[in-house]
Amino acid sequence: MQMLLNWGIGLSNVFLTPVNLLLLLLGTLLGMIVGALPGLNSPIAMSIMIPLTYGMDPGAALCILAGIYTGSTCGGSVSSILLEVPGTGAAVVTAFDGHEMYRKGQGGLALGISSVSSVVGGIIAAIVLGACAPFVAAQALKFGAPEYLMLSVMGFASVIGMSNGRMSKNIMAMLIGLLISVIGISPQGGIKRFTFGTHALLEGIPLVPMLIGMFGIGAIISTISDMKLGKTASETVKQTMQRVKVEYPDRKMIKSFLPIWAQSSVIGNIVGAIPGAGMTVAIFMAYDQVKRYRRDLEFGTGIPEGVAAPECANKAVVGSSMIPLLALGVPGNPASSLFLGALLIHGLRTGPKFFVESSDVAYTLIAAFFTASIALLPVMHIFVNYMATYVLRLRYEVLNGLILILCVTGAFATGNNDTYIVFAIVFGVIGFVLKKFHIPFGPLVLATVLGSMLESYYIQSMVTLRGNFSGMLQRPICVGLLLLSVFFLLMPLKRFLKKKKEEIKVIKAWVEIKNWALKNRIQIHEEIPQELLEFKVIKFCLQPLVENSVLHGMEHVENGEIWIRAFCQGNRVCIVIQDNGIGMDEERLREIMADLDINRKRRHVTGIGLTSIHELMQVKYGPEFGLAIESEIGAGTKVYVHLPYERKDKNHAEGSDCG
Amino acid sequence: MKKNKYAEYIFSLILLLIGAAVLIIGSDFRGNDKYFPVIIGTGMMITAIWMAWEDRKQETACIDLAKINFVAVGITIVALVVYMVLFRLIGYVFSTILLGTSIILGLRYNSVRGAVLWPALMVLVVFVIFRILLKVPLPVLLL
Repeated sequence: MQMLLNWGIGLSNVFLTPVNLLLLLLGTLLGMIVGALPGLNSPIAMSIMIPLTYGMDPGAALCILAGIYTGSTCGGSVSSILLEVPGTGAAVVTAFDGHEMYRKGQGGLALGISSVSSVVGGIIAAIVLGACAPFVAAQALKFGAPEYLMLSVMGFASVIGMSNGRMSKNIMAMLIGLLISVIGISPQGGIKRFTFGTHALLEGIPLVPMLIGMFGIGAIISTISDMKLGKTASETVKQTMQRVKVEYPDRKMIKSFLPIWAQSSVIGNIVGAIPGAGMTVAIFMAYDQVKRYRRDLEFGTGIPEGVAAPECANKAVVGSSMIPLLALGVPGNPASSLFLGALLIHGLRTGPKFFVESSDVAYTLIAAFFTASIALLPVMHIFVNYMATYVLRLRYEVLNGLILILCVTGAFATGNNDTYIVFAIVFGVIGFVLKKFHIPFGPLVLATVLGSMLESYYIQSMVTLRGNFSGMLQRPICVGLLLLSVFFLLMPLKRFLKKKKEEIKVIKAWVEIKNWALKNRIQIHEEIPQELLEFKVIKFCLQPLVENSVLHGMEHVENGEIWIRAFCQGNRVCIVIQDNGIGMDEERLREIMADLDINRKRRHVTGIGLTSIHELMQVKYGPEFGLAIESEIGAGTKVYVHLPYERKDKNHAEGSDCG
Repeated sequence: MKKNKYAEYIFSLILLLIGAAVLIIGSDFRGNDKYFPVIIGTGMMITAIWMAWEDRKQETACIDLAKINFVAVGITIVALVVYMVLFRLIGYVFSTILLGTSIILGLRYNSVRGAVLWPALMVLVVFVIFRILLKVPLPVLLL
């Protein structure tokens, strides 16, 4: 009953307060614009907006931020579908089928499916957030200092264990964050630590200018570093992008999506609630699941279900990622750390007491997520139908300059102090360097936030337990949290073992491809040496290539044949997929090869998924790897997949053909 | 290719040195105040070595120096540093317009008029929002 009452208060704060509702809609639109622009994302927009919320009441501030976070996740799918360039990481998978639909003339429908799926995922996540966060917070109220200490440890373990990428870099990010958190006057002895005689560092590094620097200025310098001077993406967009209008899925289609939405939102909510797991994990899992669920469909060729699943999952992550922040005070991802920053400006701190001391603010935020999810439908309609083509033509040179202006102004406004500009710029440069060396921001920000808390609770725990840490093992919650920490830290080991299994899956994938091709009366021949059968390949990378051969090359070929060969070539493995299909003329081949140039800002031509696979390989393995194509009209097509040969046993490998 | 590898090693080395500095400075702190800095410094040194070890094993570097537009990055960083100085000397309005203009022109935007007008317009909007609506005392020495 109390919860319903709180929900009512939250919803009335959003719906019945015109300013809040307006800010929420504006935030959603702004988020969508930012999300649609490749290179920009929600943390940038949120870090710029935080200082603007300074003069607002907390409810209004959270409304605009919730709108930006929700809108940007949806906006990413617009450029993903229209340009095959995901606006945000959350929309990477959407490009697989979404852009194919656009090429088939179903771009409007893809965008409609994306928006409806987003609404469903967002609403479910808001409800889950509203139900789970207060419950978890109520349990956490029973915590003492040792439990909080273990909770902080679990937060770190989760972010390190669940994050993608190298564990060493995740740990380094966490240590850098902890180092930032110890700067200033120490909580116990009151001595100056790492202040270097500067008064500006006595109070430590202020969180908001640091976030503005890392997420705003750092990201802009990074975007600038990727720019090719003189070339503009906007001109290419102007020449190639067709205008589309949103078309919504009919009742029959919606009915068929229901189970997909259900499983994708479950995935999104679970993954989102785990600190550090992130959106990318959720979208790939959702896509993988829908592929298993609908084995009859050829994903990657413009299947609506391939848009519905990741779009529903990423919106589910948006809401559920707030559970650890609101209930435990642990920001699980960069966006939630920005919410924490915004609340700190207003003198509020999330955690177990948040639902007791500021329940109206907490439920306003939950209601804001709920409302923003509903608002996605009209806002995306307006954005796609009337604004998208103009937004995607924005000049990056101008945009970067203007965003930097907002960042430095915002940093100043946070403390009315020009030292804050210095902090923001210094952290901008640090953020840029860390980004280039793939040091993740998530663990760093979490450690910065939790660092001082961890130190205080450590000291308090020592007092509570009278210096005897084994006393922790007599506290059931501590033991539970310790076990969870161990579980999260073991996750990389589990992933390592899973990788091994996936190597074997490649063999199974051949069999699947074969069965699928036989139905279409196409012969598949394979010449793969035994040692390469267990070779690691990126998921979804080979099957689409074979499917391409069949769909684009053999539509009208009576006795189609595909050869799959693999061989070693120096320090690389080459997989060749050759068909005896219709082939391509020189112009088409040139277009496709030009499209594979990763340095081009806008690439759209192939529409046969090659760009995504090539880009994925180059990002993962380096610029010298990826795809190459040979083709001739009437003589078929050869696609070369170049991958690095990772020697498991150097001595053995050197003696083999690959050496 | 080799340059990328060296860049990774240098990065690890810098982190190792920072870790060592944190450890040395931190061990001078009194009582409980030194525990965390010592743990962090030691952790950074170990992790930096671990990173370098992993980099050595990997065939390709995570950073690709050839893809970084150092000229554009340099222009942006220099503009930001100059901005920090100018902000105190000539106030918010002019220094911020100069910052925006220099970055836009530095990125070879083809219209000088646009490069001045866009930042000026943005500064005007921001100025109205912050100074007038939010009452943030942006310094306006020359206005």
